[in-house]
Amino acid sequence: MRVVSQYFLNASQTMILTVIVFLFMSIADPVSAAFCSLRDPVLAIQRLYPGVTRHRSIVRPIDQEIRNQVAARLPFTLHHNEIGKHTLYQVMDDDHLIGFVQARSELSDWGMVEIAWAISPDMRIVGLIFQRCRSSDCNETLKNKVLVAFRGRSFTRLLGLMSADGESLSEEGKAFFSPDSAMPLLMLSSALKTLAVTELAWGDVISAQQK
Amino acid sequence: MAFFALTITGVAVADSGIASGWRENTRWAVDLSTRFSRDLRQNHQSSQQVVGFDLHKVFTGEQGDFATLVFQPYWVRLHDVKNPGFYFDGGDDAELTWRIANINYTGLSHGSFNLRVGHFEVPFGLEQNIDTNGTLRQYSFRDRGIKADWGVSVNGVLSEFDYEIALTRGSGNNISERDDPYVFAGRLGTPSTGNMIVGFSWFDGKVLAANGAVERQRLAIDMAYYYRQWETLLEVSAGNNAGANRSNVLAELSWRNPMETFHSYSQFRYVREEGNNHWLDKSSVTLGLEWKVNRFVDVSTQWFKELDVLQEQKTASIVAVQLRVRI
Repeated sequence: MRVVSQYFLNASQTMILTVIVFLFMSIADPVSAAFCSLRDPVLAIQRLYPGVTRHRSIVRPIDQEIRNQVAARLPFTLHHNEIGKHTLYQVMDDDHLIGFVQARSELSDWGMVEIAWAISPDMRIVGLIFQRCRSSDCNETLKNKVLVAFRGRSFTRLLGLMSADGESLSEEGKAFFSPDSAMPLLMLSSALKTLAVTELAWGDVISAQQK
Repeated sequence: MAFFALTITGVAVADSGIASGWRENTRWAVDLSTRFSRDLRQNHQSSQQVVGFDLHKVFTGEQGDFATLVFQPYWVRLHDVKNPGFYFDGGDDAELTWRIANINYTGLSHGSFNLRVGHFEVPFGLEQNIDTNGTLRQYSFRDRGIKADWGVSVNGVLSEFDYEIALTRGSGNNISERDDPYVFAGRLGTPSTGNMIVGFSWFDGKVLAANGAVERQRLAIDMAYYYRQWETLLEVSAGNNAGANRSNVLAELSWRNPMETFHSYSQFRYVREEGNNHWLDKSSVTLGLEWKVNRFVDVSTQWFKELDVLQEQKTASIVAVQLRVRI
């Protein structure tokens, strides 16, 4: 008991502060990794838009309200860990906007799959790069198949590739992919979430570009 | 206290209407951790508490992004720590330390040629791509005597490789001209987004320590390979400390669950050092676990064990536990 009380007496203000912080965690914004580990998807932007001269970052909070709105538009929603600040990259060639890039992570059997999606100014999927994928399924063959199925589709038309409950591909979606891989459904979920979140969190930016 | 006043003032200003431009593209967090270490052989316990401020801001204009600021001042309190960094006045001390504090000017060539000024990790080996700031899990910086330093670098991301070349003061946390230290180091590697990453590094420096600056040179090859939930890391370096030849090997195998909330790792280190007319070998293993309890809390533990050590030294066996909270 004496040892325990000694520990308590020796506790620094920092430790006490740590305990207090626990009490407030439920109302605070989530921040996981240290910010020195943040990396812009420079290589993805270069590959998705060859020859572009610059990009602009627009950081916005993705909060519980947006999570609820995504749930209203899709048969699933964002993971709790996706709440936080996210970046939309406006890609420009000279003074003209030529598209957006957003990277999103999805849970898979082999850990996080991070995909950078290229989006046209009128909110259609036009390209993708695997930023991170530990599965051998993530290869050029899959990427090309996904592009054939997704390219040029808006949110509504992409949603047509998914079953109503979000658990599988629709009949239209199954026509593009073999049934023995889970990756196309995961990538479809990622693309749908990307478009939904972009429209909800950066709607003013998109509207301004379309005027 | 001046640091806290500065931090609180900075946060208040950042949250005020006056600084709405400053808030644009800004992320900030408070980072708290407490760490306990016990040397099982010497029956000695130490601890440290850390309170830090973590700020990240992308400066952007009509012409696009042109700079990124990372600013991480951390207040560190040590309790009975043996062999603390030389910028502490002993093992029971508190100091303001700098993890990362630099601005990277990215407006020159769309990320392919950037200029960094400030305090940053010396580019070398595995440290370049994997963040180990504030974690129990560490790589080989002790072999070179320095992890982060004040200076300048050129860096960038090209289609086939990433690079960073730095010239720094060689004094670590504090800028010091004592013994005229310096570091010239760099790393060239395949893109960090791949599942197989290979890099080549060099280090040429006179690194400041408590008893003066020590000349150190190294050449290294590092490799990272990812397959499903497994991560394999390897770093092999060779060079010399003040003319005494030395080689260093670090190998790590780690596993994460699909949610990536659990991370277990095992490291093996081997050092071969030239002594008086003979070579000295030293090896150790490290076993570690990290658990991301939720979006805010991270708990980790690690056991470090020296297997065979340089002559007439007692082998160490150290257990450490850390609680980290970011809000």
